[in-house]
Amino acid sequence: MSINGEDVLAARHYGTAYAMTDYTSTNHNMFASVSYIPATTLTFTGTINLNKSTGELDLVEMPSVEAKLEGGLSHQDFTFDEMHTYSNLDFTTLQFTLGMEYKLTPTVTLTSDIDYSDLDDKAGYVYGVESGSFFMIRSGIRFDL
Amino acid sequence: MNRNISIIGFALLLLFATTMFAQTGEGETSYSLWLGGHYTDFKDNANKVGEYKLQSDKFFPEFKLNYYSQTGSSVFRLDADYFDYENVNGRLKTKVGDKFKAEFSYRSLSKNSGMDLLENMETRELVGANPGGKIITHEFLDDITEFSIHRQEISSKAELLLSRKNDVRLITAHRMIRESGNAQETGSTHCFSCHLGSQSVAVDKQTNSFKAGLEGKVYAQKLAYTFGYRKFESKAPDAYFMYDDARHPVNGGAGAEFGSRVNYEDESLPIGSYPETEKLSHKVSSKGKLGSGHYAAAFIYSRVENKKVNFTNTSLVSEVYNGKVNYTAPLSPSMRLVSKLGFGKINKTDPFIDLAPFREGRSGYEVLPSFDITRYSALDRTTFDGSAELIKRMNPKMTLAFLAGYKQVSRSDYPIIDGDNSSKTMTGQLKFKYRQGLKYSIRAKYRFEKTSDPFTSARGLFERRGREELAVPSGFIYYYQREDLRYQSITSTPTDKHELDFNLAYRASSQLNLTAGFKVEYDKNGDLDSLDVKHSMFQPNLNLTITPNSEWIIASGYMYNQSKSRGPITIALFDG
Repeated sequence: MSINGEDVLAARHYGTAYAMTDYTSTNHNMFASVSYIPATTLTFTGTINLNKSTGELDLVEMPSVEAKLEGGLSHQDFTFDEMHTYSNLDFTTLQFTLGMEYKLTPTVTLTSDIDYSDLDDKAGYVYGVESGSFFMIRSGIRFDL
Repeated sequence: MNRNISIIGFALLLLFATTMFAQTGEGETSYSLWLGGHYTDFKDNANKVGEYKLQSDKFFPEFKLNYYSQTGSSVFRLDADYFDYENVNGRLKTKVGDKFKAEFSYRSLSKNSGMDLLENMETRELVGANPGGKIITHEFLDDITEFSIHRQEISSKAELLLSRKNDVRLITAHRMIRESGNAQETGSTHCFSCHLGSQSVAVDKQTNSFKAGLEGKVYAQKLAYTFGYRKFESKAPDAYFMYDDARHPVNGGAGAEFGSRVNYEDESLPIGSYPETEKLSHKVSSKGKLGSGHYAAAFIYSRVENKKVNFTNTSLVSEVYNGKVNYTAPLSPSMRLVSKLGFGKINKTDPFIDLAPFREGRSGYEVLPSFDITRYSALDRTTFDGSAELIKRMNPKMTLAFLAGYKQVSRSDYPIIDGDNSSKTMTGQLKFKYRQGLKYSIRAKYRFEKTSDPFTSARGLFERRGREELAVPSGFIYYYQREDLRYQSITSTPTDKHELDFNLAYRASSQLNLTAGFKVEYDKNGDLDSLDVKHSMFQPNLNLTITPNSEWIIASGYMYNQSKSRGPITIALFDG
């Protein structure tokens, strides 16, 4: 092209385009805990916790850029059908505990409990799919004075 | 096995030592010692589900000790919890009448981190129908995929009565935080983002804080002075990253041209360096009765210096002045006024950054600008805030409160040097409380904030068409030229913000308690031309506690949260 009579190379720069888009994250959290004391020497406890979290972008409805490009940048792909899925998050965590305490004597108590957590990751992101689980069993004796 | 025996032995020793202490005087003594162990089992990727756990499938001995002793006005208390060798908590508190009290605590935990797989950093531009153009690549420079940090915190506080006259006390405190382990560090090289390299680097950060102060009473006023010192440093060896030899990203040629555009290439340099900071602070405070009300006031000066200077060759210092005064006064038997005033100033060094000449020795070098800059800080600012809250007890069951506030943040060096960019926020808040005996209670709050000229990025979000403007004989287009094309202020800070909070506690019977509530937030920025930037949040909750008899206690709850953000997604319509 020519500017002020001088031959120049026009930059392949056509500006930018944008679309206003919503990103929505949701979180459901449910819990329940129970304590049961059938006798003065025996106590049972339990908890359950369920958490489900999601995050997603609405479909990106980018305006048509054809007129702006005037036929340039034909080697680039300006469709964005999948763009809204790039940052999807979808994971569920289940936590579960059970505990028991039994008084052997007024000052000595036997305790046992288990702890289980499971994470189900349906949309791996930066760190990949993070599905996994954790299990713990614990027992001991408590002395009180 | 030796470690397990040592831990059990240590627990018994602690118990023996504390019971011996208890026998030195008469009074109340109680203790609880739990001795046991746990076995853990992890499956698949446990970095998130076991984020704060030592990821080891094996048996660990464990103990908990709670000890309390009181003799006259002297109290001694010890709480210790050993879960595994990285997850330990301990606290020791003692008090001798009102003459001396001290507290010592140790907390230790481990934190695992995921590994950024850099999967979104792998693409190549099409040439025709096939990849073959400009490229983004990444690589992992070692085989380490597990990253974890062991955080330890030791803190101690002591207070000593120096003189009963004027109740003069010496107060000292120390806190040490150490984080050690390894972390993922990613460096980018060659055209800034075309080639990324990731590696595991050692982490060994330490923060030491020390405080010493005197406080006393003069008539009805309490006066205090506190000196503070804090130092942060990293003791890990420097990690290095090899910066590529600059060249054309597709054909690998034009090394001299590309090399003339970057500050460093083809050399290994430190990456992810931490500063070495020292902070000195002085705090003067006072509180007491004034007229019919009570006041509390404090003035704080602090100076932070980054001692590790290797780039700007300038000492990096920030000075902060803060002052605040609160005054609460009864206006009538059923009404009181709570007023607050605050002032703050932050001054930061403006270092001169001397960059390598751009395209030195290349054709057209003479006409290209120098990119040496003085880095002015957006943190340089003067703040002022004030609020007044009127709290009125309407009757024995109902209370109303109304708050009006104002805050001004003036940035002297952003976006224009020596400018006067001020954000002004007006706040209004209404609170309502109602209690019907033990049957039910209601709390509600509405808050509104209106901000004029909220902080925005001075660099534009969009670029206007530069096809003609960037046309040059050489055909070269440089990043710096695009700066002139940028427009459109952008921020996530709102001009209008609304918050509504409602809570109900209902006691249906002695067996059933219910709490329910919701929180709603909405904000938008109306100053961003056609950009409709806004956020909203809705969060209801419901909780039930059921105690049908003395044997059962059942509690359950549900909370939902939906957050929505609306903002622009921008794409580049250019090449090169």
